[in-house]
Amino acid sequence: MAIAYPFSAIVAQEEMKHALMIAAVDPSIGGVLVLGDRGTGKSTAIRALAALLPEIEAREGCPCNSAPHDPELDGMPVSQDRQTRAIVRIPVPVVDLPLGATEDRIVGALDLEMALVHGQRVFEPGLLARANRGFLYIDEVNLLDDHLVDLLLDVAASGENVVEREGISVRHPARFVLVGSGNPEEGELRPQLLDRFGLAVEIETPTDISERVEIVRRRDAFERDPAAFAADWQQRDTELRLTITRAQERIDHIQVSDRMVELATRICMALGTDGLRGELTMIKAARAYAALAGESAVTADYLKLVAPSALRHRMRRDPLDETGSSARVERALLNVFS
Amino acid sequence: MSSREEIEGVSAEAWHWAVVSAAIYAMDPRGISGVVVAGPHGPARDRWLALLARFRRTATEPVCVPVQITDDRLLGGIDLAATLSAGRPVSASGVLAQADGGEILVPGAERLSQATQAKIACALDTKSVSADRCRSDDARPARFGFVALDEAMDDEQGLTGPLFDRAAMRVDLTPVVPAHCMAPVDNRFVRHGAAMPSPENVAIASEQLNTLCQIAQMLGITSLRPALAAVKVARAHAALNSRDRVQDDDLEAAVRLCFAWRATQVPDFAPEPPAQRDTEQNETPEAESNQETSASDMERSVDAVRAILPADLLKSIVNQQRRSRQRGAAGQSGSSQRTATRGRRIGVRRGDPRTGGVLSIHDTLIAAAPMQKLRRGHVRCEPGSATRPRLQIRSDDFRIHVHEQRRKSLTIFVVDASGSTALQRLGEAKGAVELLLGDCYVRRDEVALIAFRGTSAQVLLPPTSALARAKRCLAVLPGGGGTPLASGIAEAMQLAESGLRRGQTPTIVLLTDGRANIARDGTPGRAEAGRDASAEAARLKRSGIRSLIIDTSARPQDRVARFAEETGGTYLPLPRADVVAVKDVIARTASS
Repeated sequence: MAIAYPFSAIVAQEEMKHALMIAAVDPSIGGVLVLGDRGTGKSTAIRALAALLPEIEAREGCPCNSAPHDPELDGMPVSQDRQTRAIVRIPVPVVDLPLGATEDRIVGALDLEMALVHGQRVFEPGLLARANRGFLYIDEVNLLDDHLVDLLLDVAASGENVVEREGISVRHPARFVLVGSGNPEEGELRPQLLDRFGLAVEIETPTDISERVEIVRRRDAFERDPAAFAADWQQRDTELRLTITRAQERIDHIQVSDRMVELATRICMALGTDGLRGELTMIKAARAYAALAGESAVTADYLKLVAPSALRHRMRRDPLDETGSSARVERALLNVFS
Repeated sequence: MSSREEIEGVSAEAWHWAVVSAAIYAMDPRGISGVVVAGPHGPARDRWLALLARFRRTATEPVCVPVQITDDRLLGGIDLAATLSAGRPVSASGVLAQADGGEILVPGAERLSQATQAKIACALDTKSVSADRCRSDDARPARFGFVALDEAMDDEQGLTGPLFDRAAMRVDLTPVVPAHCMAPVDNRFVRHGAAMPSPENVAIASEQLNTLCQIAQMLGITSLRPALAAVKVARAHAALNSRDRVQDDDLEAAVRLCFAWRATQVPDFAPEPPAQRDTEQNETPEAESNQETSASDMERSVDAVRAILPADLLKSIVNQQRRSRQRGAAGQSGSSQRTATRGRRIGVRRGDPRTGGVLSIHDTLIAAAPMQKLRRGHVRCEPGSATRPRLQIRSDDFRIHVHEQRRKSLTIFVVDASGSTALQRLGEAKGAVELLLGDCYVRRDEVALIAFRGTSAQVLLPPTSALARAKRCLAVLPGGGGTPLASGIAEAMQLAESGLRRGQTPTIVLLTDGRANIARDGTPGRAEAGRDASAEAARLKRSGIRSLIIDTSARPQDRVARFAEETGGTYLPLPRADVVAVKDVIARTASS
């Protein structure tokens, strides 16, 4: 595999970078949706994340990267002899879901070779198994078949993949962060699907000329000599990795006061978001953000920082309101905090 | 219009740059990523492709990607025949993997679906391709460049989408006359190897990067990919001229080849933005002189931009805007819908053909193939039949085709030809409709025309895509008489509903001054007519059919605006003599 562009070398796009880091710190956030124009570095950022994240421990050769001690998995047919396997450190899996992938490929299917050659019925895990404990990335998610998006979101929410096919009955853990990217101009996601992503980020091409020049310069340097460029940025990537590791350790100790919960509710009510997912995501995201910043408690500032990403895709669309959803979130924040 | 010399000049110019771009692309197809070649099939294009083959550093032929390519051919998959005969899965590599280290050629690229484009784009980005259905970890390398042949005619929509965005250069061969393209090419393009510095080693100054980014922004190019492509093209152009650092004319070439055709706005040629002047004053003299050189550089490049953005810039901007409008999801050309039996096949899925799908025998066999050995064990032999069935297929194996049907738009024009609509306004309305008809033609949409005057409404033209007929009907449409508004809407609704049943997406465009004075049953009387019109309007609103009400009164009337509200449609006063604006709004409404 080619060398990935270093995460820390990505110019600007702070909101997207933060959303991805938040999801890395707290995978239960429910996925990140990145919407934006072409050529804004969506794919670059997500592919860069793979190289950035700290390694995890797993049993060697386990098709679903299972943790060394996971009683839930013992005896599951996907990984029968897992307890006898060595414990190894592997990079956090970031699985690319190709747009042409079929359902079989995603959920897993009969192992063709075993069936043909040995006449045995063996389950071959699919992409969902490989993405367990990591990230599943779908570029152009809005072009993916609706029934596949449904399926992915279902599995992402339940954390388990259940396959019931001719002669095969398998279940295995599939806990992953779903990252979708797309260009809304080319087709929209149904609102039902939108709501199920935890965070949504809108990115735009920077208009600042010096930023643009910097992006082109770095990208050009990277393409001419990927290895040297990556080496130059390794130090900063390491620092970022440390920040994420520390935040992962601290996250459970971050305080969320009742006042903050109430504030989150007020923001959601001001925006008229449906359901409770908005509040929940906002609080989780604020907690992860605070952990990344090295704080010990969530403050109103963190809620304010994460509110746009957590809420912008959950609002009812008002056909008469021309202002974008981001602007509406800003407006509501101003009202609540004034 | 244009003289012969002019045509020849344009042709020579276009051909020159076409040759340059072929030479640049051939130097490093994978680095440059791609070229779009616009123009019909013909001698110019053949010659261009032949030149490209001559310029190419390696002997590998590009792999052809047909527009209707299936995923397993594109990305790789199971080879059915080989699998069945070998008794083990045999995978065939797709064309993208086959093209590794070389190039792909996409003829008819303007018809390439977004999904296929996205898959090719993904392979371009990750430089690898992973086949479906095979073991999951077998990503194969796929480093390639692409040549997309865009055969869109004048007003047709050309290539757009992920692949378009990743193309570094665009060559327009349309204006090239055969005499030019047959001339022998400059020797320096053909010279290979050592004499030419490698583009990688060509130096580009910081200010030059700055200049390129600035020009991109001035031309309204938001994506950063073109800017990056321009850097590479500038380097390659310098290498082509045996230079080891980028100079002004390399920048100019890059702007011409990478930016000019992507421009979305006419650059503002103000000499210097005032803000920059402010910062300059605070800087050291040395920095200032630097600034100045870059500024003069900039001006020169801007001159280049100005020189190469002739009259057709506006046209290309309009095209671009149309493109971005058309890219907007639903609407414009009708939303696409997945259907069981009609439309273009876009893939297969597990399903039961008895519920209305079309069975894909090929894919069903592929699904059944691996199971044969297993099933052979427990087959029940029918009493009396000595032979076992050769192939055992269960319902689980059934694969049905997934079709995508492009919903066609049906635009129904309802024209108020009553006496109250001033004759001149009627003329303007006709003009607007005529312009819109042109648009409908481009999109292969259907139109229908209804006129109401006197005591009733009349369908002048049932839904058709024969636009010439529509135009003729419109031209001879007479004016005068009462305003049976209600009948007009009722007639339009009937057409719209039958369109819906045929799977079309109807839009009603009503041109009226809203002065209804004939009731549904043809009797005169303002009050009754008004009530009937309101009732029809409410029915239209309930139906959810998109509508656009164009006010043709001498001055915009509240009455018509209120009526538009009743129909749930968009209200638009016909601006005097501004037909283009009307056309624009209609197009927007249809796409929203």
